[in-house]
Amino acid sequence: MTRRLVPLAILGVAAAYLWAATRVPLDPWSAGEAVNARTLPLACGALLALFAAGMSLRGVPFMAGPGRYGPLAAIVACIVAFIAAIPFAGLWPALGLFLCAALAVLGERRLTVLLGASIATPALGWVLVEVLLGVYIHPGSLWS
Amino acid sequence: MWEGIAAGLATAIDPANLAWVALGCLAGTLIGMLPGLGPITAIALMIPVSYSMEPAAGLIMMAGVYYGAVFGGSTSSILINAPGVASTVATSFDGYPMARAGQAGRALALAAYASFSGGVLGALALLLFAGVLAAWATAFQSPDYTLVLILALSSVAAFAERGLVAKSCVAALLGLMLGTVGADPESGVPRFTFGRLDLMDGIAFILVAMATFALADAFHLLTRGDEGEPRTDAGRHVRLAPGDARAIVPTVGRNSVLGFLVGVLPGAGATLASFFAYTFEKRFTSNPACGVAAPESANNAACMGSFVPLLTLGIPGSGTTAVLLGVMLSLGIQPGPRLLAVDPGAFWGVIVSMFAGNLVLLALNLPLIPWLSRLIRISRPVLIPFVVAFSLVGVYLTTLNDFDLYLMLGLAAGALVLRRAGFPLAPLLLGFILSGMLEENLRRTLYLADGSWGTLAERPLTVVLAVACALVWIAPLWRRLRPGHRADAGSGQAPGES
Repeated sequence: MTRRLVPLAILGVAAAYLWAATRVPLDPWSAGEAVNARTLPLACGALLALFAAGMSLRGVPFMAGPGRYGPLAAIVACIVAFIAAIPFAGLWPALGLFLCAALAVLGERRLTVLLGASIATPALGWVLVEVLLGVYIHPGSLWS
Repeated sequence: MWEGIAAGLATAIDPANLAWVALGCLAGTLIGMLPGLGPITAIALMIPVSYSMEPAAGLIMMAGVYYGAVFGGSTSSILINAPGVASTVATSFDGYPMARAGQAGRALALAAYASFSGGVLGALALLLFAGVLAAWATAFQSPDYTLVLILALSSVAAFAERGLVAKSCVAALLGLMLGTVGADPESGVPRFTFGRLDLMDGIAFILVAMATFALADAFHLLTRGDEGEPRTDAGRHVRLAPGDARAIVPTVGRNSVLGFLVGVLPGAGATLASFFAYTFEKRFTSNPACGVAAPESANNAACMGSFVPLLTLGIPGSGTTAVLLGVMLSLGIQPGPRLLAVDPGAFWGVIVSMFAGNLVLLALNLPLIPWLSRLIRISRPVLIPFVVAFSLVGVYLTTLNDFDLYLMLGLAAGALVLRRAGFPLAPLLLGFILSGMLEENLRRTLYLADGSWGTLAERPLTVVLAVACALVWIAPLWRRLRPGHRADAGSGQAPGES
C-alpha cells in the first residue's frame, strides 16, 4: 500500500487541480478561442492524472528513512515561529532568534557560536540590505 | 567593421574603463551569490553609480555586472544547492553532489573556467556575427518558440535515466501546473488563487527554487542522520583533476555555441540555454565535470548572445536586458540599427570589453575558491540553520510577504515527499520556469492562425523543430526496444537528483 500512497496523492492533486481548472472564469471573448485560460491547466491536469493513475497501478517505492523526523519537526516549528514573528519583531530580530533556536535544536551548545551567529548574521544582513543597498524593510510592529 | 573594432578596443583598454568593468564584475559576482538578488537586481542597484559616468563606461560596467551576477549565482548553487538565479539551476545538478563528495574546489574551478571560456567564445561570436544573427533572431516567430519550449521540456523528461521517465514527466507537469497559478497573462482572470491576493502575481521563481532545492535538501539531510555528512575538500585547491581539461574542452566548445544561439533568441536566454546544455551533454557523458561545465559555459555564452538583439535592434530579449535597455537610454545611448553608425565606440567598446570582463571574472574568482569551498566543511548542525535562514531571507527580500514563506514551507514539504519517492525535481523547476512562456507563445500562435494547430508544422523551421520534438520522444523508446537494452541500461540518477 505504501508504494501507492504517493501516486494516489498525486492523483488527488491532479483531480483537485482539474476541478479548479474547470472553475477558472472565462470572459466572453476568450471562451470561444482554441486556447484560453483553461486550456493549459486542463491539459496538464489530465496528463498528470493519467501518469499518476498508471503509477498507482504499478506502485512507486518510497524511501521511508531511519525515522529521524524529530529534528525536522523541530526545525519546521522554528521556521513557523520565525515567519509568525516577522510582522511583530521585524525581519532581522526574528532571524537572530531563529538562528539561535535552530542551532540549539540541532545540538550546538557553544555559546560563542550561538550568540555570534544570532547577532552577527542579522547585523550583517541589516547593514548589507538596509544600509548599503537602501532596501526598506518594515521594522516590525513592536518597534514602530 | 575592423575600424569599429579598433575604436572599441581603444575604448575597452582605457584604464578607467578597465577599472569600471572590474568593479562591475566584482559587484555582480557578490550580489549574484545572494539568493533573491539576481542580475536584474544587481543592475538595478548599480544604476545610481552609472549616472555619473561616461555613456560607454556606464554601459561597459553594467555589462560586467550582468555576466558577473550570472557567474556569482553558480557559487551558491554548487556549495549549498541554493540556485538564486534560474540560469544556474542546471549547474547544481552535478555541482552540488561534487561539493558534497569533497570536490567543492574542483566544481567551483570548473565553473570558473567554463564560464570564462563560454563568455570569451560568446563575445567572439558577438564580435563577428552580431549583424547576421540579429536578422535571424527577428525571423523567429511564436510557433518556433512554442516548439522550442516543448522541445526543452521533452528533453528533460524524455532523456531521464531508465525508470525515471514517467517520474520526470510527472515532475515537469507539476512544475507547469505551479506556473499557471496567478492572473492569466492574456485575460487577467485569476487562476488557482482561491481568493488570495498574494497569489495574483503568481509564485515567484526564487520561492519554488529555494523550496525544491535548498529547503527540501536541508530537510532531507535532517532526516538522514549522519550518513549524508559531506566529505572534506581534501584538495582545497583550484586546480582541475587530471583529465578534466581534456574532457571539458569539447563540452565547453559545443555548449558555448549552443548557449550563444539560444541567448540570441528574445525570451529564451541563459536559463533555457543551461538546461538544454546540461540535458544534451548528459547524453554524451556521465562525467560530472562536463555536467558543471556545460551549463556554465552555455549560460555565460547566452548572456553574450542576449546583447545581439539589444544592441543591434534595440529589442530586450529578457527582463535583465530590458533593465539594461533602460540604463542605455538613461545614459543617452539609443540602441538599434543606427547605434553602430552613431556611436561605434560604445557599440564595439561593450563587445571588446567583454573579453577583459571575462578575464577579470576569472582572476577575481579563482583566488576566492579555496575560501568558498571551506563552506562545505562546516558541520551539518551549523550549516543547515544557515541554509534554511539564507533561503527564507532570500525569498522574503524578494517578495516582502510572509504568506510566501508559508507557501515555500508547504512546497518544500511536498518536494521532500517527491524526493523520497524518487522523483527528480529538476524537471519540476524547468516546467515552472517555462510554463508562462509556453502558454503565452502557444496562445499567440493559435490566435494568429485562427485556432489552426496546423500552423505548428507550416514553415520549414517549425517542421524541423516538430521533428526534433518527435525524435526526442522516439529516442528513449528505441533505446528500450532495441536488443540488449537491459545490459547497457544505466543506473544513474536523473538530473537534479543528488
